[in-house]
Amino acid sequence: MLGKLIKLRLQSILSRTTARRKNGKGMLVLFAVLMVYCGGVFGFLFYEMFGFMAETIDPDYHWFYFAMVGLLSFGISFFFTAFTAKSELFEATDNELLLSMPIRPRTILLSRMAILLGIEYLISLLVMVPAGAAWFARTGLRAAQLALYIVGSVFLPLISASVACLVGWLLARLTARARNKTLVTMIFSLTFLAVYFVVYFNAQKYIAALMAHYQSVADGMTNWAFLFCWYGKGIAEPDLLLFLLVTAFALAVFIAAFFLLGKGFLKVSSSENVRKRRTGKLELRSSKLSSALLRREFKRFTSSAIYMLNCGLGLILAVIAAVALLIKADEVRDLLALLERYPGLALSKLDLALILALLTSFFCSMNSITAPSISLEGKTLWILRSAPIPARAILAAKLKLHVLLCAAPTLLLSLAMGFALRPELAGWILLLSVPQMFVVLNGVFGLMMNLCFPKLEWKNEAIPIKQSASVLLTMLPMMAYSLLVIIGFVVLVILNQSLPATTFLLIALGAAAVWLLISAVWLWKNGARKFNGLGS
Amino acid sequence: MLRINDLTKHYGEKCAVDHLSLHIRPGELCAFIGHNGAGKTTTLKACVGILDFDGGEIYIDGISVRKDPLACKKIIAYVPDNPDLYEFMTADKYLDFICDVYGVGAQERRERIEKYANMLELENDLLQPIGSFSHGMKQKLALIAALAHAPKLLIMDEPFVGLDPKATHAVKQVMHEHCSAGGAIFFSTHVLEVAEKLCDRVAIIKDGRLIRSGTMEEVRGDASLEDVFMELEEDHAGQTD
Repeated sequence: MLGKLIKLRLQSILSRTTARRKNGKGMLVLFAVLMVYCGGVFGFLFYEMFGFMAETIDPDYHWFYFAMVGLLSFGISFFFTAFTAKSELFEATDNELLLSMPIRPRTILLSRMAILLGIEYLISLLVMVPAGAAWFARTGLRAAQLALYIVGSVFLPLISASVACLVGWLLARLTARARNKTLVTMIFSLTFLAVYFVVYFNAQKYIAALMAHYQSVADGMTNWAFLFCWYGKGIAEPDLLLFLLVTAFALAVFIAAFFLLGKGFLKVSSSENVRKRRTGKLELRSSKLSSALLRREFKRFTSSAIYMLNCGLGLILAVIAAVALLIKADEVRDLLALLERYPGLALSKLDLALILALLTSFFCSMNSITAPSISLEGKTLWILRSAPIPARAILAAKLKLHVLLCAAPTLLLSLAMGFALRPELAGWILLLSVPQMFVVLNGVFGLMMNLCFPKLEWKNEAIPIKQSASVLLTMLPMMAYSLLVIIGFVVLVILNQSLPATTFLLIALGAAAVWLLISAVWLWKNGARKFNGLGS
Repeated sequence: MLRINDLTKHYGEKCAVDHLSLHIRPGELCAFIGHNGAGKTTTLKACVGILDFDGGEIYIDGISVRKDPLACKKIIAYVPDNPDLYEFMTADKYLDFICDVYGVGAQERRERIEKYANMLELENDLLQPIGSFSHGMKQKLALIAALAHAPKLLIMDEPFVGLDPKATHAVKQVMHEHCSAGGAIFFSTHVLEVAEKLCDRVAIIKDGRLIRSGTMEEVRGDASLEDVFMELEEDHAGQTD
């Protein structure tokens, strides 16, 4: 039974990529290529990092190398699977169906944990393989060490899988009981994302600091991460007893997590509707059609963590970037002054204002709130279609929400850019108006793409948000535009110098304005017809 | 109230509705019966303006669905067979939204919502998120939303599916009240006993074609509606063969 359940789950995961698509195999190949690419990038990164470490540390501290490999493997695996554990174990759509069958809940749980363990292995390989290669390439191959390293790679993910399962259980309990599930998910997601960005941007600094004081770090590590120290010593020295202790501990943790979660599996996986009932008086309030439609759009956006995180994350990042710019305004000003004085480049304040305006626009292109908004109507589209609402009013509400949400953070970023640059009046006008034009362009173009490529048949809202052509076809051209402007700027203005920077930037801006105009005219002429034809 | 003239709808090669004509007057309660895939839902959706059709014409209170869909939609309400509602809203906010769309005044909306919520025993759940509702509760909410703007014509697809006996009784009462007040109802159902007891008109569809329609007495004669339906199905199957 366990084997069948694992197979079933694997089929379900695979079908998310290939189901109902004519080019399912093609997508699978594309997915595999993407995975190989990501693996290659991470592999190279870790190979270089651990190679440097292997060359630097003293022989007395060789165990520290393996301890760090274990710790990093554990950290990365846990980081990327905590949320997966929650959805895979406790929120799988077939949980209730399977629980109603004569299958022991623990068997279902074990099949889920096995899948999660598989994912842990895949992630830990990203660290273990390049770290192992870097070590043995520099210190020479020793059979005993290699054998222990391979066995260790099998047992270590048991710990990260167990911890991820327990955190997943905690998240499932918290979100099931929380009145505002979206808010809780958002807080956890943003916290995870913040940790990721902090570590990512400071990785170089942390590694340098670690290598400068690795002896004291290693000595300290024996107190707070003794398990990884034992793991390191077990392989490096090699000490079979210590190594066996670690593997036994990993196995014990996994078994303990299994039994612990098994006790509450039935309760947690079927507790979706245990939230407290809202109490109070029935309060009804009437409003205009446009306000009602806008409120509906806003409610949809704010009630979905996945929608907000994928299509509105740029709003938070814009505010963070604006604050960072204000704090580091002097440094940015020095950098801009350097560009202004750069020999042969002769960039005016107006040119710099245009560049910053395009940079702000690019930054805000990440918010495609309208691109999945029609697809998100899904099976509820009948409500709008059967009601006496002009299609244009529906589309206008979707666009209005996008502009209302994006305009203020974009304006804040523009102001911060202006504060750093301190341009003339014309520069200020461009800095403030160009990004707002891109906000509208993004909204209009997103709607246009969604009308052309709607995806109304879905069970999980992640599909129209993460796997739809409309989102991809909105974001890609917006980013490609910025990339082309940058390439054009470098080739035509900096290298060739046959075209004044101002002229080039104004041409680029004009192209974007034409793009907006064409999209808006298309939406005005065809939008309502396309919307009314949906589902027919 | 509802006049369907020569309605035809194709899905690719398949003819879902084949030259169907039907007339329902104000005050009439008309059941639309037929086997699965006969074309009932397609016809209902075409009447509501959700589904475009290939031929024929549909008039709601004399207004063409094709020429002025918005004017038609203002006077009709639709309750689908599977009430997929906005799960991100609470029931009261959903009703507020629907009332805003139809321009129902504050006083009227409160009176109607309270009346129908009490009748369907949903008054204590109006503040809850729709995502936490059962199928039956969603069905009741969809019905309250449909009645909240006092439509002239109510179009319902399998309105009794998922309802408990008490709610079924209440819905029948609501349907009677609606027709007594001059409104009309066109609904599909598989429950022939309900159709027989509740309706004054019946239309039977088979493979997209209307094979019998008229008053209940005209259609069933001395037999039961079930017998007539089975007989017509068999006759028609014989003709098709």
